[in-house]
Amino acid sequence: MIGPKKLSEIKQELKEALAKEVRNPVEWLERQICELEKQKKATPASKEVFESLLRLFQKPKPKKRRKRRVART
Amino acid sequence: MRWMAKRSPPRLSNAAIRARENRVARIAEQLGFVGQVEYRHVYSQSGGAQYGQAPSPEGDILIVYAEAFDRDSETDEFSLEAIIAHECGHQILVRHPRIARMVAGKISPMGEEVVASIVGALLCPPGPDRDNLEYKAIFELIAHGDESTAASRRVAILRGILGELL
Repeated sequence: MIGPKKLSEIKQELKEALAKEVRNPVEWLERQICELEKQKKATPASKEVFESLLRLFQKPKPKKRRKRRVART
Repeated sequence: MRWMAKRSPPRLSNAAIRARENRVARIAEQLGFVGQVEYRHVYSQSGGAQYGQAPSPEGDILIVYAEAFDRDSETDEFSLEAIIAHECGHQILVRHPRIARMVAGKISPMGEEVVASIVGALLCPPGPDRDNLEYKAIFELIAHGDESTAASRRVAILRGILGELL
């Protein structure tokens, strides 16, 4: 069961837990990714976990607004 | 705070319920679920879906509840695909020959939830569903006492191993 905990709260608590443990979570995550890139045995899948955590700390890109086309008459 | 379902789901037409049944069946098939798939228009305490193991994979059951659709319609909530992928993760955990052998008798109920989320993440294409199931796996470990850095590393290692087995 995925459980009733809301995703927004899971994300928030995850961010807070990392921020509590390491001074700069973004720097720490980037370091983990670099270290895994150097390791020959590391699989890309392992690296992707830290990349997804990094996305948690990045602001979502604003959605591009579509230009409205005016029909020619 | 928990996702709180109202006392009962809204009334839907037979056509709308059939559309939900079809959507659930389509997603389960795409994610590789083997067995029976049901949609029940009731609220449960499960968060949205449940997997049930039968004597054989063909008898296994995936039940999706109304709150899965409520969550799917909310922003920053688990999508229906992610909810079903997590349950497919439970099936793989007990049905995949190598994974089932690896975890048989060695995994706690909490560990099962963690692995089901990681396997579910691997079943999803790269994108928000995959990310969200990984967050869920890490969160689960933290909620049970792991440090966040250790939990992240454990999930990264497990994802590497499971990714090679799948």
